[in-house]
Amino acid sequence: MAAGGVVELLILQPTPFCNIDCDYCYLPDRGVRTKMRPEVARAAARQVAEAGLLGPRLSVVWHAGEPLTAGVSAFEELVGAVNEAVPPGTEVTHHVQTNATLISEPWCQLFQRAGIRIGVSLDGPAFLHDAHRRTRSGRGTHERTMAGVRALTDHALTFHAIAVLTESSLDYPDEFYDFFRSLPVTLLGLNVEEIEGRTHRSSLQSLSIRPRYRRFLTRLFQRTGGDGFALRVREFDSALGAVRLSAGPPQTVWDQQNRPWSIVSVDCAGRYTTFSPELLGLPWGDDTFALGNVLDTPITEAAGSERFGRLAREIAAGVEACRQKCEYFPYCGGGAPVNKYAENGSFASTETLFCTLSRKMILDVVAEELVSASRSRLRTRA
Amino acid sequence: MMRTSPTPRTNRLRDLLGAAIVAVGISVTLTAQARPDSSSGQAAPLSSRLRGAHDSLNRLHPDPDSSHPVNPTDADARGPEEHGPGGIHWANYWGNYNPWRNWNNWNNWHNFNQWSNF
Repeated sequence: MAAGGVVELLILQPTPFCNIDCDYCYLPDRGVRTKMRPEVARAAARQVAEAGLLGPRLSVVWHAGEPLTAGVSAFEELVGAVNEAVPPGTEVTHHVQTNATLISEPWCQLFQRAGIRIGVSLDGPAFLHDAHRRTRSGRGTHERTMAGVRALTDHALTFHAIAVLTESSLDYPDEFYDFFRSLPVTLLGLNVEEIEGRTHRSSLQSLSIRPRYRRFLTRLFQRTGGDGFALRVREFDSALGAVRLSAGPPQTVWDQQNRPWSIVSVDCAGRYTTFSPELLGLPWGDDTFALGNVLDTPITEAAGSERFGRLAREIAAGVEACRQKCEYFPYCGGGAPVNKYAENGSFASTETLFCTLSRKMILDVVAEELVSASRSRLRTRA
Repeated sequence: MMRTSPTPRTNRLRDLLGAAIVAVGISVTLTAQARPDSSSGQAAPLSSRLRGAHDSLNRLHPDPDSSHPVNPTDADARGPEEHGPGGIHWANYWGNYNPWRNWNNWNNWHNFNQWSNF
């Protein structure tokens, strides 16, 4: 088919509703309590299968709202609907990204029963977490999140954590690290506060913030390395991978977000798109980025549409511009279309705040720290 | 009080100073413009910095794919040398290393901003 490749990630939105109200959240409709019907979940999986886009493995991520607000039994029904629609030969793994405030005994049992992998959104110790992750009445959510974390731990459920970094975090790398090190978390992802969706500014966007951000990263890298990498930070692992890659034959990494149909995102009503999942909730001129509805639009049809063609061409132009202009391109793959669109107003553009903070500066810090550590060793030997 | 006009020598000095200030100003401007538009302000190209980092990495700890793979269970037996200066303890890192495919691919890893998949 025109799409080519396989879907690696199927993002399903069980509900846009979220029970908390983080001030940096980019998602619209977080107050809308609509829920995905099982036939929508089933149709989503079936469309991907019928388009010939299934490979040996498929990851289904339930997100874009707080998935646990869907309720245990409704959620289990959705998971079952997807599993039924995926033909044998494809191994499906389900994932949730949750604020953990609703995790309970029944949820833990479902996670175990269905083999669901769990990511917890947690910004660090209470004073950092509660600065942004609050209820609609303005109360911090750290205590409730930690109760969920304890429930997971009590059930021997492993999970990773994702922390959003804001300006509030930057002066506390040690407190940040010590907090996560004290948890049964071995994988930590750093998301920067981004400009996208309903979020039109980031506390990290000022150039004057960069030295503090750099110091934060440097100290965090030193702490993780000093602890024997007992806590793995996704960004550092990726940068270390880039360092290794730099010595091999020339090659360029790729990014799922700018490869058509690597990701398919479906909202709770069945509307779907590809490329960056966040696009699904954004306006595109007088229309949206939805390319169809899984209930009535085959992916093959969407992939042949003029709208998809235009979207794909513009995104490809942006990737090509990155290739031409940016020395980080071989280690990045051309960036995230949604950030280009949100920050620069065009997919056919290059640098964003996101790529500066989450790619370039990470690589810079890791490379610099490696050289520094090596020189330190030479001095010690001398 | 009558003002005296500056002498030719004073005029020359003033002209020279003025020219020097202009030259310094242009130089500062050009330097600022020439500075790479990089997140880091690093002068060296990324490729050479990464090569330097790679050499450092190999000095700190050999690549596990090389002829001297690291067994993570040996980490403690190896002593302080393997822990490396700068406080970096590499054995555990390499012991748990996931083969890297790309920035957005990380085993068992998913989130809404940095898409990954296995």
